[in-house]
Amino acid sequence: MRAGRVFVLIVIAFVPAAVAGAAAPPLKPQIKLLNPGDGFVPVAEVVTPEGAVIDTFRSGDVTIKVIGSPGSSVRAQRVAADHPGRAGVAIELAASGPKHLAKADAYARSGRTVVGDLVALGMPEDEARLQFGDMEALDPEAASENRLLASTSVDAETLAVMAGTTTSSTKPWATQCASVSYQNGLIEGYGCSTLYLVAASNGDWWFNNKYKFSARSKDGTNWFCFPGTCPWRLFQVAWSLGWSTNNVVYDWDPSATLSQKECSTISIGATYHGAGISISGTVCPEILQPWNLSPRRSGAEWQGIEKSTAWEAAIGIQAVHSPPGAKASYSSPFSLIWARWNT
Amino acid sequence: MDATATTRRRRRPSDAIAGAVRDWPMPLLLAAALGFALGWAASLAWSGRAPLTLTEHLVGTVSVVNEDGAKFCIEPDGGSRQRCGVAYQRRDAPSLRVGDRVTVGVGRLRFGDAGEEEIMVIEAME
Repeated sequence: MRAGRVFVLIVIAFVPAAVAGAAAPPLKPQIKLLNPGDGFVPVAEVVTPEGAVIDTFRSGDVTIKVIGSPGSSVRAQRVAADHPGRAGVAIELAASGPKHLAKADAYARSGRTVVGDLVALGMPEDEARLQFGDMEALDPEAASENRLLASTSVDAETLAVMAGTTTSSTKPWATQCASVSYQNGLIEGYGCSTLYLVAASNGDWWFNNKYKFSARSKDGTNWFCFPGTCPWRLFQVAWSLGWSTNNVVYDWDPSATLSQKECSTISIGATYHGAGISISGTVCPEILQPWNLSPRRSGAEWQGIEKSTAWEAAIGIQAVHSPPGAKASYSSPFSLIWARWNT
Repeated sequence: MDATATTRRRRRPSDAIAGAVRDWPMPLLLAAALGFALGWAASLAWSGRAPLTLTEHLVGTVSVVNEDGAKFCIEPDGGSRQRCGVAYQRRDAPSLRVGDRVTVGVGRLRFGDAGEEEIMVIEAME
């Protein structure tokens, strides 16, 4: 009898602990993970005051964070594991926007900004402003707003929408941003696509877009190391922006391989459909080149073996025609690969 | 007579050259060395500063072309990775289209001391 009471007391004492310690139900993120079987699992979710969702996914010592609207999706997998001394991730963010002019300024009205999104993903604000400040305007290197409004490519309907709101098409129509961290930030990367609607007539839309992916390794180069213990250095930083069926990427930059002998600021600019667009970033040896190109996608890739702990950037711009009948659905596939120094 | 005295040493080619050179007058020798050094330096400088050098040739199929046909990508025969660039071709040549078979000379165009840009010269089109 006495033994029975003791057992009951023990059970009662452990029930609350067992309930508290029970595995939490698996997180169902609002940004859907499309390939849950490839190693990444959702671990946290935050909703920003502007209504954007930040979802965190983890696979071993790799953490990725994505920010977007509820209903967007992400595909993530680890890559290059079959290559000795090399590792990395391949990620794709996907989203779709309403193709209604009345909702064309929804992003701008939300109060979100590229720098704000990157800070929410963990990038220091001064660094985000320095590196990604030029993503917040269509053509920071020119008086783009005047040029755009003077353009004959913008019809009365578009101008009416612009005039009826507090924004203009020099503000993004949408953005996609993400961060990657390996071994608690030993390697870190931040990237964004910024989409600008520069002309629209009913369902006939024209976008000028830019993308930038900036990453670094803080695992400094040794003058000597044993194989397997050498520091991790970046090998590839690549970002692209693709569109759904019937959309056409009709121009892009960079369009050719650029070999760098030393780190320098590269600016890329063009005028597509009457609207100027530009982007700049520091590009170090070895190369910046087109990446992942197809009739519905363009991208940029930096490749090299970094020699310092400075940021390495891949930058690019593209022009898109979204004809009537084509959805405004887009995705940003990107890749970050690191390699053991001296391998 | 010991063996070493009777053995006749075979002259090596380097000895023959050294012997011949030793017979040259010293000014001629200096002039030849100087000329060789200058020629070597000039060839290095020329190859390093040439504004355009074709480094390889690709045969393949055009996979992507931009709106005005100036930018394109080629899928080289043999399955190597897609290459993209700016197309340089004769003014009267037809614009590139997806599916065209092309032979491309790949070159590097220097800009300043900072780097080089890869360009693609359309050598033949089918």
